[in-house]
Amino acid sequence: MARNGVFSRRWRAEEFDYLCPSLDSDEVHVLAVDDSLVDRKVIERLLKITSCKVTTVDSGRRALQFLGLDEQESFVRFDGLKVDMVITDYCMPGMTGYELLKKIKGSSFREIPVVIMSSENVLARIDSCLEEGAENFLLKPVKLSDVKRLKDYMFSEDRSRTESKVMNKRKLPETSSDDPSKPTLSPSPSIDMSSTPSSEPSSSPGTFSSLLYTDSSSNSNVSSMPSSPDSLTRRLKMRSQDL
Amino acid sequence: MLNNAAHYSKSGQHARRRLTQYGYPQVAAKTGLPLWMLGLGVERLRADMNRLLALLFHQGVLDEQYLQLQQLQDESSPNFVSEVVNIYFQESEKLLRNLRFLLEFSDYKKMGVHLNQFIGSSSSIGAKRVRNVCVAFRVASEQNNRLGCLRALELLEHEYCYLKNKLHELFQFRATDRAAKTASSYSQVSSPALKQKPKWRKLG
Repeated sequence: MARNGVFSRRWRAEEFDYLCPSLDSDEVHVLAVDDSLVDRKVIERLLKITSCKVTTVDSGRRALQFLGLDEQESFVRFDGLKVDMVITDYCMPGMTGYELLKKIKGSSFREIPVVIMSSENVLARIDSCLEEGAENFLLKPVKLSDVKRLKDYMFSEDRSRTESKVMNKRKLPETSSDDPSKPTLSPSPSIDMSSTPSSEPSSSPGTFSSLLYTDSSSNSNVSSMPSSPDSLTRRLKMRSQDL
Repeated sequence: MLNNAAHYSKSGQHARRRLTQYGYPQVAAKTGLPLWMLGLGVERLRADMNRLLALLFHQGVLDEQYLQLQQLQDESSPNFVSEVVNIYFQESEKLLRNLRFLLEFSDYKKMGVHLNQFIGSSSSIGAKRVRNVCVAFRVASEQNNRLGCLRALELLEHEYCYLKNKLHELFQFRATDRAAKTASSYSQVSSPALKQKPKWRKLG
């Protein structure tokens, strides 16, 4: 892999949505991969609000290029563009998120945590991703609480990496009032949500099945959960209310 | 109420017309105005905007993901929602054109691929009804059901148009609200025309 620090003419900056030439070493740098521009915009904003540096790319191939894992030797990385986490959509034309995951885990970057996002709640898919070494699996549409929880879990000081992977998927519908919103966020419009007839728990498909899956996995992993005790209690309490 | 969304533009023109409807003729003409009158108009405007939003939730046109997008909007990214939604509109119209084309040639497999995309982006912005029609459409395409696909496509186009019109209305409310805020701060700062003793109130 050519890494002589010389900027290759063939790498055009406009191929990447966002380029960060200088990086504060304290900030978490996330590489977001999604073929949908709408989703790229949303995930970029979600990550920025949680104080991450974000680079978005539209395909697995471009992600590998950015990491410097592409087979073509002409692509080089800037020094200092260390990626701390990769978050990728599952369904993408060309290289799927799963294939990207396998490539990363089979490379010199296997330590980089990879998070998979998918709009389909397919247990087999989740299982195979976790088996392949995915750090986490998020159901789309991704919410701010998902990203906050992910970041807190992955990059907080008291995180222990010795245990096996813990499922932190969004299990239950959370109303917007549950979020400890940052003061800079503009307040939601004052609507009385209780008047809506669509009182189904969540707009995401298969929340109940994800609930079931999480029950079995987190029961075995409860001791190794690094999250704070009151959030765990809240989750258990909410789960019992829902069932 | 402006009802022809097709002619909406991003210019302040419509916002100023709206201002007139809410009783801001002087503000629209950029002269001073008693603050108590400005205050009343803003409240009514916001009530109308919230009523429209509540209606769209009630109808199931939007779901909580749309609120999530609004939460992501702040001073550092004040147009986030409209930017994302406009990208969604562009992508959706391309998808709709492709779907119609593919249906002509009964390419159900490619239709499924497009529908997956449409489902994904619709759920990302909280367009619940559009998303649900796409899901039904996908079922019909998996069954190679031509008539079902035709019906679903018509319904999808109808739902999409409705969503687009309503979201444009919402954005116009926001633009009017902002113009009123700007105008009120303008009249606070430079108000040579104000003869009466002004009771300066900061507008929410």
